[in-house]
Amino acid sequence: MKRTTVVRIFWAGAAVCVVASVLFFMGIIPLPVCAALLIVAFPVTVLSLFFCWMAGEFGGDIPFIGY
Amino acid sequence: MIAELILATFFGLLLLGIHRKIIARIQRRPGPPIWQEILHMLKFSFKTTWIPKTATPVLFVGVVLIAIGIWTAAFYILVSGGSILVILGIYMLHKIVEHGFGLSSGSPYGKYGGVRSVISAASEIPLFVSVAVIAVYTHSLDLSAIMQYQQVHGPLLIIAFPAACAMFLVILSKMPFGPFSIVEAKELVSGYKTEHFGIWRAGLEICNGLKTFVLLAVFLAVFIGPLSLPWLLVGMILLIVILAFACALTPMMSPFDSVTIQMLVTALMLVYAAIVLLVVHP
Amino acid sequence: MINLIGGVPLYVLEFGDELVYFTPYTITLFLLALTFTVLVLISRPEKQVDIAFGGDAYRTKEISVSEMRFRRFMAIACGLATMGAMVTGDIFNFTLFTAMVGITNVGIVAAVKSLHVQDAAYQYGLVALAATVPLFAGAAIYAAVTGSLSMIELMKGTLPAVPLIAKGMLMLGVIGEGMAPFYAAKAEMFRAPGAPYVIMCSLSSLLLFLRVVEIVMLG
Repeated sequence: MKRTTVVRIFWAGAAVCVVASVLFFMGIIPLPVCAALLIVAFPVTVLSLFFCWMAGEFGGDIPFIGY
Repeated sequence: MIAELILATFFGLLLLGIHRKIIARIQRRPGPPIWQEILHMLKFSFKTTWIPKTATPVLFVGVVLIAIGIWTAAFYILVSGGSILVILGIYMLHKIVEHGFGLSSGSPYGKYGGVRSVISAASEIPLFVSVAVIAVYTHSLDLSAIMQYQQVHGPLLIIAFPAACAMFLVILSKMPFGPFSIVEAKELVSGYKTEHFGIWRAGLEICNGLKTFVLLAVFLAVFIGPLSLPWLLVGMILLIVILAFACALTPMMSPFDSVTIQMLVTALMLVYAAIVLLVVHP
Repeated sequence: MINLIGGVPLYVLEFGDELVYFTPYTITLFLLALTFTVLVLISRPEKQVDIAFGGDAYRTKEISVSEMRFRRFMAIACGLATMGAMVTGDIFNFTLFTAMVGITNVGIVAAVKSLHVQDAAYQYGLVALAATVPLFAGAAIYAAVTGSLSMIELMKGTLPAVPLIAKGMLMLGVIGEGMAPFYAAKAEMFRAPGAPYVIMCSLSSLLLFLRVVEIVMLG
């Protein structure tokens, strides 16, 4: 994946996490809904954050060549 | 809610760091600083990452997401005082996640780690027996109701001490460097996580931090009762110190011995549950 | 005796005799079964690496397309049966789904061309076959004593109490489908390549066990 895609995924995931938390604190959505959103968004956000730190601008992976 | 989740993850990683430090001191080594596990997670997140050519890519990545996802779910069940049965279900599903980690890469080391995680499925049965005992006393499986019961009747740690021992053993079996951690034994390089490197391992560290936090907090909630946040944190540190002593002073067992001991504990717990059902609460 | 095991039913679908209901507990289990079934649908099997220990030689196992197709079909069938068992509100349907999970579990590894795996699948099949006897007998005793197989009715607490033997038999039946201590044969089945499919074997029996814990606490 390209870096720009990963960064977009990260911001989308982070936005879902923050918005869900804020809406919960304002009492607009109940805890189960907030939790469901976070359960889906949090893992994606974390992994995409880690990925965007080191993702290259080019696509493609280094193949596994054994030891 | 996201802030609590992140704090819980970091505190869980800190607990694992304390665990390592204490084990090192018991073994007369200086040991890493207690924030080592947090650094570990950050270090892995900065590594170059790819997917092994032999792996099944969707499962290889998906299982990391599922690992973090299920423990996030467990965290919110804990926060909302939900059913303890769901948390234990998630605990059992962690086994499937380990299995997925191990098998998805195609590496033989990972595969044996995954197969061992299936073999050690015996460790979950004492958990269910101890839950059944708790249910007999409290007439509910909701964490909030269990905590209310303890406010009235005193901690379950005293009332149902064998159940607490069984659950302690279950938590011990998920601790690194413990007597039952056969899934990541060194003869298998790193067991099920051998082939998950770079950000995949960083994701696994996040899952481990969250898992440690949730398991210890659930233990305290179920057997001590409602605690204010500072006391909860103190209790968790105390618990991790006890766990560290247990891990440092026992050798890692062979898979066969590990399963045998867990089966024995299961048998003892069944006897205890029968006594509670027939004698204490007929 | 115990109220609110899996939480209050959020939604009950009455579909003739086929009763389906969702509680927070069963939704969690259902979603997990669904997630892994989707993973089976979209992922390809891995190439298992064999190392000759003590040497540098290693080789990968190839899975033929026809074998993969059959095993994927069986894994999806297993996923569907598991999902059915998670949401059904009828004890007899639950036992049927459980029996089907046992059959599909053998199916998942049946196409693997390895003697160890075939042996293990055969032994597992025998255990699962034997386990269906207490499974269906348990359901029969439920029906005989309470006159109902509906979990919603059992939950109300108005029916006669279910004897412990029925609960024990139901539990034994599910444990025989692949929980400790009967998983010994099953562990060998995991030598088979094809991680997404093989994982369904262990996932299905775990989820069934989690569901039966809820069921035996009713009534």
